[in-house]
Amino acid sequence: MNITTLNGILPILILTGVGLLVLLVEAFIERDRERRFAFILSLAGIIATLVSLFSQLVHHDADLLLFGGALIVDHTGLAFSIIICLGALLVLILSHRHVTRIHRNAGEFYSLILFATLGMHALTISNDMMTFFVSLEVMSVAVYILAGVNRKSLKSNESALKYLILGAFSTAFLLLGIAFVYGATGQMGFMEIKEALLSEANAPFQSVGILGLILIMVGFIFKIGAFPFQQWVPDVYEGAPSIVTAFMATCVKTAAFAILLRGLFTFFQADESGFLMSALTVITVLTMIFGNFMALIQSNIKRLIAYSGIAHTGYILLAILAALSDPAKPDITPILFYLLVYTLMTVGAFAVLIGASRGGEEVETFEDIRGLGYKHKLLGLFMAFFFFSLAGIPSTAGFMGKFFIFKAAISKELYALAVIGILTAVVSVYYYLKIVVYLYLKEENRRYEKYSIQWNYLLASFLTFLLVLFLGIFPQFGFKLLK
Amino acid sequence: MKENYFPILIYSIVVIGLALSFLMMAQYFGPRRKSKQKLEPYECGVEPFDSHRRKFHVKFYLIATFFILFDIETVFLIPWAVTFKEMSMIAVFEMFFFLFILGIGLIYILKKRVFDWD
Repeated sequence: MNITTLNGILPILILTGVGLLVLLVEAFIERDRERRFAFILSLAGIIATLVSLFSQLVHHDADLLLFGGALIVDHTGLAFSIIICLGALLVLILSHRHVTRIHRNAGEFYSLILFATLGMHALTISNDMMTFFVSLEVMSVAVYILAGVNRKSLKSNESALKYLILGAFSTAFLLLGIAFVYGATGQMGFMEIKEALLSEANAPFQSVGILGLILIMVGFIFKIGAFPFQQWVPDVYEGAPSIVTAFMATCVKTAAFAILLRGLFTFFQADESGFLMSALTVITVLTMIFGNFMALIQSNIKRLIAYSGIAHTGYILLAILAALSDPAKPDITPILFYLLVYTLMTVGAFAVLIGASRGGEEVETFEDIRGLGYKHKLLGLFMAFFFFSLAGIPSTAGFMGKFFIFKAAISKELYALAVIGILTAVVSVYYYLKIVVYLYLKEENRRYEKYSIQWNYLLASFLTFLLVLFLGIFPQFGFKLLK
Repeated sequence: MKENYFPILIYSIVVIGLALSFLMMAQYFGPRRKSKQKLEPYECGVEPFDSHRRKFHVKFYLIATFFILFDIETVFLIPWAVTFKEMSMIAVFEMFFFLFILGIGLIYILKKRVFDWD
């Protein structure tokens, strides 16, 4: 174990150490001081991780293989990890004070967030089936618990149980797929598997290997919530506490996309029949259509955001298809940019929604936000802006993200897919603007009569507001960062 | 390669066939005379005195979970103990790191008074 290795796994070490420390703080320090102490500690941990990731990205010149190829510290993985850490940081800022309303022990919540982030980072840089599976489980188990963190709420319990059972089901597919691939190639590392699948000597087992890859892809598609395996998304998002929903909708999805991308880029050439690609095309189209049209008829805001999340998954899949159609020089910056923007605007929207919730009552229906824009001008402005951005109105980063994705699709001659994407994006404007309309409906809503907003909601929503606006006007800075 | 798996196929067919045939033979040829004694659940020869559908204290489940946790620790420790002489000092360090993490977990559940029964 030398300095290079230690530097490569530094973010993992920081997250592990701080996560454990926060657990101990919770166990040993009494309730009143524990909350603040745990909060500051985990905030410092996430910021330190972010800094170490940045320094790795800046000093990055060649891909670094660690532990005999189990981990690969490369540019893509680091960029995804930075997006994830940014999301986790914003969620942490939001959870200050709010967390004690949904759970007795703040420390537990913070350490679970840290452990989940640890799993996500390990997932983005994993390079063999074993590391990949273990880090996926580190992430998933932490998020299963987080979904049910509000033990007094039946809905939260239901959401956690649903997520656990369906997640275990998808994990079974994934494991079966890994077993098939291992059986067909006798290898665990991604690169070795690819070589084995392409080699002549292994030809009789090629079909078994492809079957395994398809099963693994089912597991991925479940995690990102794309079309045939998306039914858990609205139920889980609706039931989980809003803060956890924000975490799931952004960080978990980004991590799942990171590993999906790595898997697809490694393996899709091994599939000579082209089945994976055509399946992915169908999934992309159906995900875009389904997500947008189901969001039209929702009356619960969290469910609406869940379905719109499915639609955004569809757009990102479209960008992945565009990148895959040029395997020699794949351009993944549109994917990274879109995920960054999506993370920012979704956390921002949730920041406003959580900020507008009173006591234990969360914002659920359209009626709950009626007139919010008059009672709290700033909050209303932010919320309207985030939903404009989600809809892709120009001058917001959401527009730029969509623009680059459709541009990439058109330049790769995926005309039909791009047209479907643009048409469904037009449909989506209806339900996003519906929220904005309710924000400024002039009717009495007693909910917000005497109500002051806490600094951390304002800080989180203001930060995301600035970033979304900035990236919307100067997207090249985001590109430079991610390139 | 594929021929090597052929005996396994035959084996599984024979096993499934045998199991099914035993079950069916018992079903069709076995006499069935039910009596009160026969239908009672068997409790080591003692007459059952209670319903078996009881509520367990939830702590039992917690204890079972922790048992699995430390059971898995043993699964990792035994192969390590057998081979660590051939590996470098790093192996020792890594195992103690693993034990350290588990130890923090143990301290946490002790402090949370999971093992206190009241």
